[in-house]
Amino acid sequence: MAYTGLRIHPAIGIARVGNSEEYYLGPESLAGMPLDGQDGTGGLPIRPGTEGTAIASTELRDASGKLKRQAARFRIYQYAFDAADGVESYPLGRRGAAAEVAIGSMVDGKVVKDIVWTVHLANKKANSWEGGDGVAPFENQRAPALRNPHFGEPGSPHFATPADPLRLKLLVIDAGPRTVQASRQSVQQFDAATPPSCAEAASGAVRSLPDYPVSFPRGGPSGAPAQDPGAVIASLGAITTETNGRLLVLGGYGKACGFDAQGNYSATAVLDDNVNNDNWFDDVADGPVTAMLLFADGTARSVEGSAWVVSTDPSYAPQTANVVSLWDDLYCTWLEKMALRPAVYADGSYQTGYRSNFSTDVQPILRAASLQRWTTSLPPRAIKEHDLLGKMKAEGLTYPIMNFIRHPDQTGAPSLRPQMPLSLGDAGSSLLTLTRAQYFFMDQWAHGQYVAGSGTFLLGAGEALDRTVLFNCLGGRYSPGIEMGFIVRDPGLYRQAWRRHDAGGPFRINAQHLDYLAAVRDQPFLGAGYMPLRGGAVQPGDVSKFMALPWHTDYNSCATHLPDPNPGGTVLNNQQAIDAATALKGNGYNTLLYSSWPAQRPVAVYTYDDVVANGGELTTPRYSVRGKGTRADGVPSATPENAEIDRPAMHVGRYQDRAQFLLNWHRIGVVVQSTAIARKAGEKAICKDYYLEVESLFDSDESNLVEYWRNTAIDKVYRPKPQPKPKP
Amino acid sequence: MLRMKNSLFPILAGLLCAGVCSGAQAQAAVSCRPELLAPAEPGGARVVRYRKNIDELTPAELDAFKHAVSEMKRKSQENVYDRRGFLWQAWVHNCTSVDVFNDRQAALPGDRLKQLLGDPTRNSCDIAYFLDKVATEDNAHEEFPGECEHQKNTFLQWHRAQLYFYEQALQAADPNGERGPSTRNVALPYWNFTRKPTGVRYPKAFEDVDSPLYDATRNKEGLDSSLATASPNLLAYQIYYMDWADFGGDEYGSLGGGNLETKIHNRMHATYMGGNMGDNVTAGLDPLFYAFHNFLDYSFEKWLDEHGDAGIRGSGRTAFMRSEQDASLPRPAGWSAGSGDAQRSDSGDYAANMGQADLYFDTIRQGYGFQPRYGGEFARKKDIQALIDRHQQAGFVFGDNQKSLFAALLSDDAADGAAARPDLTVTGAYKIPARRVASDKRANMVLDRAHAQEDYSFQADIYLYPASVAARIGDKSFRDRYLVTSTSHWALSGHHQHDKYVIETDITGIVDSLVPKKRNQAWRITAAITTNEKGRGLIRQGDFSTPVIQVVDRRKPAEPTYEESKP
Amino acid sequence: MSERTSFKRDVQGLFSRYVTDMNKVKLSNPDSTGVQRLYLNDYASVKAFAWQIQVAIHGYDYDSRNEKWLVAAGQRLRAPGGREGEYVQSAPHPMPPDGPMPQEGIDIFDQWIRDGMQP
Repeated sequence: MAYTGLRIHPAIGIARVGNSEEYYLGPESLAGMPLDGQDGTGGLPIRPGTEGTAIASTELRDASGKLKRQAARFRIYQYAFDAADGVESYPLGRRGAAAEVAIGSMVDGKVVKDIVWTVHLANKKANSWEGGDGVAPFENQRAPALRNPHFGEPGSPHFATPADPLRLKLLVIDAGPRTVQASRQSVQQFDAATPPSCAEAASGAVRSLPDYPVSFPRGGPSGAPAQDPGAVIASLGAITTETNGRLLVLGGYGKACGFDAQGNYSATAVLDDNVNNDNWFDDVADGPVTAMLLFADGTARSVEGSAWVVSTDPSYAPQTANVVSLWDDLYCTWLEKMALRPAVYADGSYQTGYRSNFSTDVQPILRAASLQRWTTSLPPRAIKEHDLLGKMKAEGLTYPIMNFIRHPDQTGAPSLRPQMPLSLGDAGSSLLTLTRAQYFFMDQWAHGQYVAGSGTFLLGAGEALDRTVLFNCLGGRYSPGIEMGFIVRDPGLYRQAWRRHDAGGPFRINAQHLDYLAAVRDQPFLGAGYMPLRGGAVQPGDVSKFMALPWHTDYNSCATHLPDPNPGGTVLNNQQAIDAATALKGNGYNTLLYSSWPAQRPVAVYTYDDVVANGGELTTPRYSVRGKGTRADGVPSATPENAEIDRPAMHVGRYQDRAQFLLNWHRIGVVVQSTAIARKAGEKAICKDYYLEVESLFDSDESNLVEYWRNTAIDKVYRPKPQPKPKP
Repeated sequence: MLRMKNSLFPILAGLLCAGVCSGAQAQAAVSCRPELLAPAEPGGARVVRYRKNIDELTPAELDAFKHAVSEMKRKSQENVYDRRGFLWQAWVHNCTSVDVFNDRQAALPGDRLKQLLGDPTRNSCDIAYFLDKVATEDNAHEEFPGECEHQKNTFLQWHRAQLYFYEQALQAADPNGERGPSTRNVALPYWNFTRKPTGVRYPKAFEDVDSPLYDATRNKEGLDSSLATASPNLLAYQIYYMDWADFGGDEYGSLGGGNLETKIHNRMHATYMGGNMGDNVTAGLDPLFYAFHNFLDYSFEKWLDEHGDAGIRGSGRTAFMRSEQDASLPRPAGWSAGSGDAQRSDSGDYAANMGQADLYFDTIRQGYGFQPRYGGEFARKKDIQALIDRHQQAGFVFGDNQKSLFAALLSDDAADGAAARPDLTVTGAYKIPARRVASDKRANMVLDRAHAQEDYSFQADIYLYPASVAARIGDKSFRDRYLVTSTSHWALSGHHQHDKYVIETDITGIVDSLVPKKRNQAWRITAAITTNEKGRGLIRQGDFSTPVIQVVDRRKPAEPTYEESKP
Repeated sequence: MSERTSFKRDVQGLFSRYVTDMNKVKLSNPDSTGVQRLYLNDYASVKAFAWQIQVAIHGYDYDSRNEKWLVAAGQRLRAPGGREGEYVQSAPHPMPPDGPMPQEGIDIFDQWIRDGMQP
């Protein structure tokens, strides 16, 4: 019997913080990938109120120069399946032809009168485990140390776990659920002033929850404007809708605030780590997105394919793709663990008969490689080789390319020549590898097993959104990552029974069913929630809690590093160790520095002003983070001699004092394709293939001179060339 | 000829040649059957073989030569690391280093060597581009086959050394004739490119598609049938009239490559031959490379005949020629490794370098000479003198003769003339000075191509003419009358790439000729730049400076350095 | 300058990026000691090839296009055996290949040579 499936797409949506009230919509095209019939490539955010019009560079900030937030846009699709218990395939292909459901659409012969959306945001970072070391600390029934370990109730059976009641009370920011009716076009803030609300399960009526135990950081200077750096966190974002009924989830304001031993606001909390800072909150968040359709005939129906939203760091290079993206890790996990596509992976191995789809399986990797040079400084010969890769046609491969690709298993001695990707690896790995699936796809292609186009891999509109949104996010290196961390690889994060048509489709977070009517005032509603490798349903806040706290310190520090583990061993911070590492017959200790995640966290960029001042030609890049306080030389080091080596070259391109980043993150410029850059009158067009930084609020370059790879820990660092004076 | 077992030869040689072969080595080649004499170790008597024009080889000689090249390629197919193989010999020119698997073995079966030799976009120095195995710290190490020297005063000596060893490898290819004719007496033939080619564009032997001498990547366009490839008079002029600094190049840190390299050799690579030969990273992959450079070597030999080697000073004598060659190939007499890097134990038996430059000044001592011994392949000195007398005679005034000397040297019959349709021109003003150039100074014409985004090859034809005359470069009579010089820059890639390039020419004689009758007149200098296909995408007007004429100190003669006073 | 520049403290950091590229290149030492690889991380090697390195890093000093020096007289490289005011104007292989080192780095290397190339 025919069955109409209802699903929200994308399955995981991404919102981003900004210090402006204004916002743009998250991109719905693949970063850096060609768009049919256009000079511009994909990845640009979308102008609000439009279907897919990309913003221009002048729309990144509001009129007062504040960085806009990003809103995640969700929409509902209906699928015409032959039976509710029919078996899903991925992609669905011709089965289940998808059609978007807007206000006024027909579903099962009924007209949609309204769409009721519910979103619940929370931030559990302060109550979570120390992050940055990936999944290993959770294996074998262990758990890493907790953040804020001194918070707890010694008498509680849950003491020293995230379920400890005092921790749940003081260390969790829970804004509670908010519900909007699309027909009303209202805005609901995730702040203490706005009462939570949910939708009635049967009717979809909006129900206020005045007793819901909303929890925001306590204390803080009264009267301080909510946007002030010194003000305490008071909001996690907002939701609203578009006229057609789609949902927009807006991110928070990029704030971080400290707290004391009692959990009250403190202006003197210290930032002494890049990933784990006790006594700090930030205002990113995550949580479920659910919807109900209200029909003209008074009936209602809940959308079974619910979604998840993650609010995260700003995107400073939306059009440069990561070689390994969040999508790639998700896809690899679903192929290997969830039997997503038996034609590709079955019975414990990749199928040798599978022929890679060059344009969807392989080309993104090649293109991402060719875009690396826009956010990290590479030598000309590398740029040339990468460009060839970016332009390569399916049948154009003339050499054994797999010699140059690091094997995911990384066994055996390192190769004599650099292998790709050439950036830092995941937790516990020195250098990055492709996912096993990506490696397999490239290997098949390299051996002639491919089809040139997308072949049979045609995604429906909703499926495409699932992929695109995560393609534009960071993958591969989760120490701890940016949008989402290593948990993307845990099958326990997802709804397992996805194979029935009525189960809502693949990639759905295993959201805990939350009975808001059971909420009690003054008692935390959310519990410890999801733990990796242990299963357990996922609550609001459970995805972002594994990320850096505050996100600012990790973003600041993740320009370039020595690998960890460092090949050959740790080089210590004394002359003897450095002598040994750099000797003619060296001791094999690596001193090379590598980028962390340049496509998502730009290290060195070509600025538009520099290029214009140079007549349209590229010049020396500059560090993306280059305000006062980023100069790396002349800064005395407190690192002891028996600790890991600490030299100026290892600190370029970031604030030397972490706290400074909290005040300056919003001044960082954004790298976009030149086709998106609004030109001033009289300026001639820049080469369309350039991706340049615009809208930086750093008036001068106070950092150091950028030098292309190789870079070593003991390099001399120089002053940068002055920025060109803006023309009158 | 009787084919006897190898081991008998030395005994027979000793008997046969006792007494008879103690005379001049040249006679040994005739009176003692050379094939009975094994090449002697350094210090001993050597067999001398004579290098001939490729078109003059007898059918048997050509067969033996082709077989030698074919065998060298076969050795590389069996093992790319065989230093006597064609690929390693190409690496001697192309590569500073290669990754070598620890067992010194990697095969390139089937068509794969052919594909590698046919792809000028691939850098063969990086084995990862064509071998399937990944070189790691555990299974491989680095070795240092090359690389060539350019743009300095060791250009000719280095290539001489390279050809010496290449010839040894040819001879070692199949000396006993087990798979074809014996290669023991193969001498590397040369291509006299100042003559009309016997093929469409190259010697016929190199255009045979089925021959191991063939390379599909070269420019194949036919020439106008009356044209030679390059002008014999220009070459002869350089040989007879230039001192070492001008002919062969100058010390490191001064003015760079000599005229043979810049005015003749570069253009041939960049424009005439193209393909593998168009890029120094792939040049050694074309068998024609060796025959081409062999004629430059013959030119070097002629220069040495004319001037002797005393004028070659400093590093032009003492530098060691870098390359790692097979230890089984006989080293030049007097060879020593010097005290450079220690011999490595992981690299099999190899010679650490090709020896010092001055070992190669006496080719006979090293076992080879050129045929014909006297004249023949080169224009005669007296003919060149006649040209000078006619076009730059005492009391001549530049521009008054229908043909400038340089134009006359280029000759109408060669394909290397000044370009009628250059890609761009740059013009500067020049006022003829009132006084002649002082004797301790010289008039230096300077043209500079600035750093380009990417290096490209080009030919620069420089014209000097009255401001009242329109620059009609398309007009041959203009070109002939006012051409000062024509030079080429060959864009080197890889480690040699240096994209800023300066052309300097001594035109004291021309300036002085103008002073009496044309002093204070307004003249112009125009540089007409022509580039190749790759360069057309890169070249920009702003790359080139306005050509100028500066008066600078006459270059001091190179002083003897302290090394030469050592015993 | 009270303290003399030292290879370890001042010069090694100038070239550490280029060590891997250059240690594959063999150069002939002007002191006629055969052929050696250039080890920019090694005091003895840098000392042996100091002149070649100096010429190479000064290879961008002169701009013939406009017939002018891009660096002040005090920062140019004196021509060997040359008179006052004679400087090296070009190099066959200016280094680094893609553009000049920062002037500060060139100055430090020159100073190190003037200071007698201390270890």
